[in-house]
Amino acid sequence: MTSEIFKRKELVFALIAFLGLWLFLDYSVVEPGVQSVTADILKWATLLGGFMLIYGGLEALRYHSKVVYKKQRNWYWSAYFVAIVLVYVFSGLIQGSKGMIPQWLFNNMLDPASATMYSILAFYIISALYRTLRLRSIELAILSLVTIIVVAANDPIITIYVPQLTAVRDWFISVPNVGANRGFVIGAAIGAIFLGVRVFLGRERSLVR
Amino acid sequence: MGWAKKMGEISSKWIYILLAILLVIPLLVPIPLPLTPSHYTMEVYETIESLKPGDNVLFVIDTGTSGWPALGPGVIALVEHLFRKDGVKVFFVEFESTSPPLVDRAVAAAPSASKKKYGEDWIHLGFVAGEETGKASFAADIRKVISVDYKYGKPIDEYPIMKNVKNMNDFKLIVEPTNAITWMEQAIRQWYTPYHVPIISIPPFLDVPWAENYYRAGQLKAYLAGTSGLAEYEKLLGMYGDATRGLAVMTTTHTYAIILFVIGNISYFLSRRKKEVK
Amino acid sequence: MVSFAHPLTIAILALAFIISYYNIRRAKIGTLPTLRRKIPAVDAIEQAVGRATELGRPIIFTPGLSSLETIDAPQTLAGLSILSYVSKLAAKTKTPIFVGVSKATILPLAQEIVKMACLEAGVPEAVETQHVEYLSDQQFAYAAGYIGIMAREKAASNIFTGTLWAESLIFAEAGHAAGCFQIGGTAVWTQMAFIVPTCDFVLLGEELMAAGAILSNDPEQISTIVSHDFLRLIAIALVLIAFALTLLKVPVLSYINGG
Repeated sequence: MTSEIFKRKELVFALIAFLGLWLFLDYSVVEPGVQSVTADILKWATLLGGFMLIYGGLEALRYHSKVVYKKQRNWYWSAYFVAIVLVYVFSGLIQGSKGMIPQWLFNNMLDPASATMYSILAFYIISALYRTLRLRSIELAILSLVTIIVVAANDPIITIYVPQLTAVRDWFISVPNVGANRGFVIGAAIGAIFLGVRVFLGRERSLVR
Repeated sequence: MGWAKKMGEISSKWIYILLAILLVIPLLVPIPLPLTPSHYTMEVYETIESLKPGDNVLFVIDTGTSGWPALGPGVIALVEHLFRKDGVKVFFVEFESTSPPLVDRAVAAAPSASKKKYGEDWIHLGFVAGEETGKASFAADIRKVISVDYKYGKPIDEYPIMKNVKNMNDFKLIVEPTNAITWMEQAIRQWYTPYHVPIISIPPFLDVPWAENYYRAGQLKAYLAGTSGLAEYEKLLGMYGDATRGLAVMTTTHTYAIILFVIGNISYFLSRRKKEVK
Repeated sequence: MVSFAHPLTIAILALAFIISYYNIRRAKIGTLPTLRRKIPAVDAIEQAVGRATELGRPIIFTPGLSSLETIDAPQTLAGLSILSYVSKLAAKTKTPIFVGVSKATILPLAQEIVKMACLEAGVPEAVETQHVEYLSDQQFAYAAGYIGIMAREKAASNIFTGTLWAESLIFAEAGHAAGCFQIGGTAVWTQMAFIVPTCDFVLLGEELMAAGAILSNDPEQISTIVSHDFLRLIAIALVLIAFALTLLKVPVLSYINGG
C-alpha cells in the first residue's frame, strides 16, 4: 500500500515542482536560510549524479555479461569489456584510484584511446572537407568560401603574405557568427524554459511512464 | 578528361596516408614560424598579470584525457604563469571524471611548481560529480561537496590554504580549460552569473566561435583561441612547448586542406563542363 | 540581508508560465494553429527505416550525448521522441535497432520508450530486436562504441538526433564509410557545419524540437512549439526596442545589467 503511494505520478510531479520552485526561489531571493537549504538539495543532486555513474557501469556490465553467457555474436568483445571493467574496478577498490594498476590502465589504455578518438576528427574533417565542399549552390559556396578563409587565416604561412585575412576572419567570427549564435542560444534557452515549465505543471510525460 | 573526374574521387586511404605524413613531419623537424600574440592572448596574459598576492584562483581542469593533447600545453602554460605570481593561491578542482590525474601532469610540467608548497600555495581538491549541479553545489559551499583533498586524502581544513575559503565569493578568478563548450557554459551560468567571478578559458578549438559569443557579451573575460593562441601564450612566457610544435602541424594540415578544396572544386567544374558539352 | 533577482528574469519566467498554460489549454480544446513548414527530415525517417528493412540490416540510433538535467535537455527529449517513432516503425517490420546512449540517466528512459513503442505498434515481441545499450559517459568512448556497433552490425541507416558535440562528425563520416543513409539533427550550433554537408537529411536547431513534437503526436508537446514562437517573438521585439533605445542613447543596457 505504502509502495503504491510512492509510485503515484502525482507525487513525483509534486516533488519535481517543489524542488524546481525552491531552486527558482533561491535564484530570485538571496537569503542565507534559503541558500543553506539549496546547498543541501544540490548536495543530494550531486550524490544522485555519482550514483547514476555507478548504475550505468553496472548496467553495461550486466548487458555484456549476458552477451558472453549466451555466446551471442561478437561475444569475445563483450568478454574483453567485462574483463577490463572488473580489473579496473577491483584494482581501484584494493589500491585506490592512485594505485599502480589503475594508474597504469589510465595512463596506458584510457588516455591514449581517448586521445586517439579525438584525433580521428582531424582525418574525418579533411575527408569531409574534400568530399563535400563543392561550389554546387550559392549556400554551399558561401559555406565553402567562409570555411577556406578561416582555415587560411589560421595558417601562419599564408598570413605572412596575406595578413588581411586575420582581420576578415575576426570579422566573420565576431559579427555574423556572434549574431547567428545568439539567436540559437536564445532559442535553446527558451526551449529549456518551456521544458522546465512543462515539468512544473506536470505535463512532461516522458519523465514518468 | 577522365583525370578531372579522378581528381575529385581520390580514395580516403590516400588522403589519410598523406595527412598522417604531414602530421608527423613537423613534430620531427621543427619549423620556426612567426608569432604575434593576438589581443585574445594578451587579454588572458594581462588578466593573470594583474593578480595580486593573496588572490585565490580556481583552476578547473575539464579537458579530460581526450582533450589533453590539444589543450594540455595551454593548461601547463597557465599553471606555470600562475605559479610565477608570488602569493597567488591556486585551487585545482575537476567536474569531468577523467581529469583528476591531469593536475599532477600539469603541475609536474610547470617549471615554477618546484618553488610552491602544497597545502599553502596550491591544493588539489579533486573531482566533484554532477556536472552543473556539482558546480552549483561547489559554488554555494565547498565543504558540502569536498571533505578531503585528492592528493593525500586528508581533511581540507588541515591545510592553511583553505582557511578563509568557503565558497565562490572567496575566489578572484576562475580558469577553466575545457574539452566541451557546455562545461564552460555551466561555469558561466553557475559561477559568473550569480557570483560575478571572472572566467578565463581555453575552449575546445571547434567551439571557439561559440566562446566568442560569451566573450562579446562580457560573460567570459578572455580566452585562448586555438593552437595559435596556446603557442602565442607559450611565447609570452618564454616557453617552447607542445603548442608551438602543434602550430607547425596546424600549418601543414591547413595548407593541405586548402589544396584538397581547390583540387576537388577544379574537378567538379571540369567534370560539369564536360557534361554540359556532351 | 535579502536581495532579489533581476525583475526582467522573473517577468520572463512568469510570462513563460502564462503562455505555456494558455497554449496547453488551446491544445486541450483543439484550437492550436497547425505547424505550417514541412520538415523534410521527418518524412525521411520513414525512408531510413524502409531502407533498413529492404536491405535486411539494422538501424542505429542515438539520442545524443546529453542528459535531462542540463540546458540541453529539450534536445535529448526531442531525440527520445524521435526514437519512439523510429522504434514503432521498426517494430512493425521487425527491423532491428541498436540504440546507444551516453548517459546512465537516459538508459532506463530509452528502454521504456522502446518497450512502449513496440506495445503501441501491436508487436510486443519486437522488443527483442531493439537493443538499448549504455555505452559510456565519456564522449569519445561513447563515440567509439557507437561507430563500432555501426561497423560490426553493418547498419543500413544511421539516425543521430540530440545534443551532439565533436562526435557528430565521427558519426557522420563513419556512417558514410559504412554506406548508411543518414539523418542528423542537433541544436548545437557549432556542429551544424559538420552534419549539413555530410548527412542526407538534417534537423537544425528548432527543427529538432519541432520534429520531436510532431512525431510524438502529443498536442501538448506541439503547444510547446507554439509557445516557443510566442516567446521568440517577444524576444525579437525586446531586442529591437533595446536597439532603438540604445540608438537614442537611452541607457537601457546598464539598467538590464543592473548598473
